[in-house]
Amino acid sequence: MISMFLDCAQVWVRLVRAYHRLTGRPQVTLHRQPIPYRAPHSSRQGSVRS
Amino acid sequence: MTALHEPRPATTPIGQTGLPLLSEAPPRMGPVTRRLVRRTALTVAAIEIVGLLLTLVVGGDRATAAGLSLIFPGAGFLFATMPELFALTLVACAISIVLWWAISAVWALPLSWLTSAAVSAALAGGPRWWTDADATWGWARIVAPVLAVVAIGATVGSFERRYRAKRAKVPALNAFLTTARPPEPVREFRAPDDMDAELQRWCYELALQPIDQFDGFEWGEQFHGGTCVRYQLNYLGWALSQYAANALPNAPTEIERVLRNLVLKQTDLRVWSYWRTLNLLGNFNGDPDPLVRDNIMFSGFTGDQINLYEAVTGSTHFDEPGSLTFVWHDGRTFSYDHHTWMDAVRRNFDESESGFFPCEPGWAFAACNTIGAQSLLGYEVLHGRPLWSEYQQRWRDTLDDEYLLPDGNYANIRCTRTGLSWDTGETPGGEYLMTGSNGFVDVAPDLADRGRAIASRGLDEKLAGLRASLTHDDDGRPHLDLELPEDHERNRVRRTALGAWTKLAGAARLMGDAELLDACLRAGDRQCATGERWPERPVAAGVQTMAGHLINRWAGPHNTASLNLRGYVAPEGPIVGPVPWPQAMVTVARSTDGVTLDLSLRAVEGDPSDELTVEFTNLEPGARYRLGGGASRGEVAVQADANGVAAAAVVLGEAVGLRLQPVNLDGSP
Repeated sequence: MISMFLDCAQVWVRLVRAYHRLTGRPQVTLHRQPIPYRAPHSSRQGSVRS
Repeated sequence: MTALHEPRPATTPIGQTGLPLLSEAPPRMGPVTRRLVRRTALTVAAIEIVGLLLTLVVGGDRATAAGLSLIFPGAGFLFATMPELFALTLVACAISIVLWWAISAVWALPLSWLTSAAVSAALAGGPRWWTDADATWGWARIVAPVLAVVAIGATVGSFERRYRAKRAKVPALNAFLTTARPPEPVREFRAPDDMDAELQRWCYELALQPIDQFDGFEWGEQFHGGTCVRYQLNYLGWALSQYAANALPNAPTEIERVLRNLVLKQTDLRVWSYWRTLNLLGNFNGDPDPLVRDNIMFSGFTGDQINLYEAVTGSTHFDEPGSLTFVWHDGRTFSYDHHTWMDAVRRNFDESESGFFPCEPGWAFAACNTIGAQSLLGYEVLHGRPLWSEYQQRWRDTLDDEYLLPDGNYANIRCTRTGLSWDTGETPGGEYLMTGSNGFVDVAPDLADRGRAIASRGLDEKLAGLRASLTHDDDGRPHLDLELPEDHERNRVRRTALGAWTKLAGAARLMGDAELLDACLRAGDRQCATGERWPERPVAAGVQTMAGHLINRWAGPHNTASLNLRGYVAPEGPIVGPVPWPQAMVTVARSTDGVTLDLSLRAVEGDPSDELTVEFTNLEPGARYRLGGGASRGEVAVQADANGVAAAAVVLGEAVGLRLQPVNLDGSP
């Protein structure tokens, strides 16, 4: 294991916070709006994994 | 149950008390890691050589600037008298490293590096901001190689220093381990109190809303950290599985639906769609299927959650084909069930180079691969297919050879492309002695014992002061007059003391101190309880922090390890329910002797004065029972029919602490 002298987790949280400030959206909410409706491009059936 | 744990071939000595000792001459890295690190070193060396050739052989301002930027990122900007762009390059590289870890952008650092070479070459000889157009700083030819040597030296040096410092601890650790006995954790049942009922109610409200509704869950970024809904669902599922086995084994109806819904919510597109982004960024693959490649933090964790669901309910709901179906935006469906899900986990293990497969593309975590191993084990116990026992030795070899550090810790992460590990800030020091949802207890019990032994060194003395400050309330329960400092949660949105209380309670549980555990839980409740109810939080903490707390709070007598090893065992004694939700809920229903039933019901949206008719099954056919005790004002006679079924009316406000017990012919209990 090497020393990176960089706390990735903390920097990441701050990047996320900065992004949300820029976009004016809350970083965390207790509610989530439903996914906006998007008409399917196609109705392909994915393979069934076995 | 299948016998799974064959003794591991002894590659290191065993101490007098049976604990595996540490190697006195540990390798610096395992064979796979060494190969990857060598490849990384050769790649860096090649870049350095190209940089030197451009600088020393090709020459000219542009080639020199490009070459210096290859020797050290952005150093060509110093040559071109643009220190601002040099500083910008360093910032870009630092962010690239963070993005490499956070969203698997393994290309970000090379891109920043190469871009600095290209841009510095393009700008060399062009107009300058501060100096003449053709000005250069010749000293950059010296500074760039010096910076490169310092950076590489610091990297290699930090690795070697850590390795030697850890290796130096081995003799003392082995002397300790030779005679050490790990403490026996608290496993006794802790009777749920009012706060447990509030927490149970909050969990039920979260789980029993419509599957596609997530009120009360915390939504934020879904890549890393405390706002990933998948982890909230996992942790709640694990915690409630323990609660189901410990407090509600004889009231299976509601908890089955709660646990099932928590699994089904994992199939909501908003929960798993993060994977396509990661797959695209990290694997250059646009397949959104969350199980087909990597993503063990989803497949392994949720596989474990599904196993525990089945282990405590006996339900084979998820064995049905298509019971776990993911639908992508464009209508593509990825259809799984319990069996095909676990096959996908196993296939990923099989196809991995090191024996551990990645969470986010390019990053294999020891914790996630331990939970992935737990998922194979739990599935094997439930269904008899040897997915774990066939793989167990390879998994163990990977853990011991590739992730074990000399002092008995394990590296948290390993880049599967470069072989590098570092402290990413997720866990103290980037390492841990035990991991998984139960600290190796089910998949590697000897390592769990060793980890517990080392982790508990000196802990007794640390807890002694706390024990000395214990007093007792009028009801005889232990009281700790203490408040712990609040600390930021990982997403830094709020501060909470719950995490500190969970650690302290965990330490008390680890040391086998049931009284201190109870005192810590109650003191934490006093400090952190909000009095609020779903969709708000009853405790001042995030959902993931709360769920993590519940895993420790409800871990006795069964925890995730014992349930994983046990599989499903049908309850003995009277069964209660169903109870109409949300009017009421069962908070305790357990039979310790297979004859009587300890029962508590509480009002949820119902009124405490509501009278509820409760049905009992699995009674002795034709036998007479009586229901009373607790807060009830009298006893109710209960007559089982020929099928062992009976019903009784209870008043919700008087239904805590009831006991249903048979009445002998002479009327004695």
